[in-house]
Amino acid sequence: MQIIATELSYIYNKKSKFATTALNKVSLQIKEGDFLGIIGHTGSGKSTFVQHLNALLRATSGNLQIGEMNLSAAVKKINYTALRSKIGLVFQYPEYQLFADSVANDVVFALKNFQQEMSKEEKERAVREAIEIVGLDYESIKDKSPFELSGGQKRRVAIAGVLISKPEILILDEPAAGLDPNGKLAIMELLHKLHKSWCKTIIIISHDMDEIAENCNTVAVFHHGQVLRSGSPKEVFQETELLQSLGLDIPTTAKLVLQLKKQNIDVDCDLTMKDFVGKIQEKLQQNKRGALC
Amino acid sequence: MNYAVEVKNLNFSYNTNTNKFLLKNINLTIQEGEFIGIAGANGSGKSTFAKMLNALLLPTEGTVSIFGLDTKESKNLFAIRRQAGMVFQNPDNQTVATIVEDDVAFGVENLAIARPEMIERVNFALNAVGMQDFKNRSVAKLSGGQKQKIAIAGMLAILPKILILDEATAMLDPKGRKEIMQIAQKLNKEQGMTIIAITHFMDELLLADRAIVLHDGEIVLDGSPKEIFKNSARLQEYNLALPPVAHIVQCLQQNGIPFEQVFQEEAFVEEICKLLQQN
Repeated sequence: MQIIATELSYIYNKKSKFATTALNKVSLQIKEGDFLGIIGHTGSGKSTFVQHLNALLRATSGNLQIGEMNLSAAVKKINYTALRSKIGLVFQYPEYQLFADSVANDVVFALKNFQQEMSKEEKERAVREAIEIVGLDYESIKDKSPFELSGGQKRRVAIAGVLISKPEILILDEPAAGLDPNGKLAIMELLHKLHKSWCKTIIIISHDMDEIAENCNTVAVFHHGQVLRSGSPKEVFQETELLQSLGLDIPTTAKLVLQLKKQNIDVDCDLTMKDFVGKIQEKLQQNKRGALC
Repeated sequence: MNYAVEVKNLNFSYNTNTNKFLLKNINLTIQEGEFIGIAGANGSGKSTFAKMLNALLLPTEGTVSIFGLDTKESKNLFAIRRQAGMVFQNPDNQTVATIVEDDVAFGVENLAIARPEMIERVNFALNAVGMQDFKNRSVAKLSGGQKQKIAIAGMLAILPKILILDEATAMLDPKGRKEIMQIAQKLNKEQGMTIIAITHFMDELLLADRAIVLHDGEIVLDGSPKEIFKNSARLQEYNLALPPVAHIVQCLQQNGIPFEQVFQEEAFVEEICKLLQQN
């Protein structure tokens, strides 16, 4: 499913004197298969935007088309069940939303709304699949209380609870925040695994520019409710001055590329660490060969 | 002279009936004026350890002393909490009043200090974190980073000698993170305040004079950050990583390039220029 937002606007407290425009004519196209990173400082409209994608918020004006589904401001009736089972939204620190007495009961919860006709066995199988895909052992964890798990495990269980309906589009707000370095890597690996199997499109909101450069094929920069730039990490992070004027950081690799450029050393890489290291190595070897000739 | 923090043979368990300790055999001294970074995986005992330092938790075995005051002695409790102030992860859990000034004054109010001095201290604290212009603003309308600054100011108004930051930057955006760490550095340099910063961000660890790594409730590494980052295999084992620039250097070294271990971008660029000129 492709997502096309056209001049999408949203105003909080529209009828009161406290009205604030959170989205101001956002136009953005997210292709099926994208791994999109949304960046922008606090209050730039990132979260407001993603909440439109599964109709937690409805636009004040403008159009939003997701696959066959039309969520434009003018549309009154929406099949919420169909929409939300196709588009999974994982909030920030989702582990705080765990509530049930066992992991299995927590994960199955959404199916009670989405698939009321499903048999008990089918539900159990779905729960098993969801728990296994997030990298946990179904048998040993299903009857545990979510509250006896570690932080990383809780977060996986919370993600499994969203994956249970097999969404085609998965949106996560700061999925790696608060985890230790290895925990962060493991969550990003999980997202890549999902991207190859269950979810065609993945959208993450993140403040960690290294994480964005490392994992996303496309980036959108939000500022004051607008999309200022979108494109590949390489394209977007080239605009250092713009990003810094917005109070945003750039990835470590981009900083190094920029500083090397000032020394007249051009490194043309896609800003992932691996590619950067490879290109630097090439440079040094070329130089060596040149010296030997 | 008393150490700022002295921990002797500390064992701790939430459940007194078990021998399974969350903190095991910790021995540690921290001098006044040190900037300490503490890292460790989720569940390694970092936060539990931090709570030992201002008597929010008490040792099951062994002792923790703050400037010579034993945390187990209940008569020391107020003196200890006046000297060791703590700021937690979530900014929203640490504000109590609706107006910035009132919030910063909250801790001081409990010390029964005369109003003129209280006003002075609140102003001093707000200045120290650069929030003097927000004095009369509503706390609810501040950003996460601003709320953390207010939380720190609330501690500073009590004039503590030790500031403990328990992942105080974890929920902030990069700008907020940087500002909080700058404030910590400034307090350390200008006022000689002892800083103990617990963090998952390896680049924040680099700012410390001394880094301590906890693993499974034990201190496994203790030294200058640069020494600690030399041992990347062990860091991996403890679920930690190298800071980004150091990681890139390590990849190059593994591919057989004789690269000096550097941590900052400028040093990295210099090193490349050097290598290119050599040949």
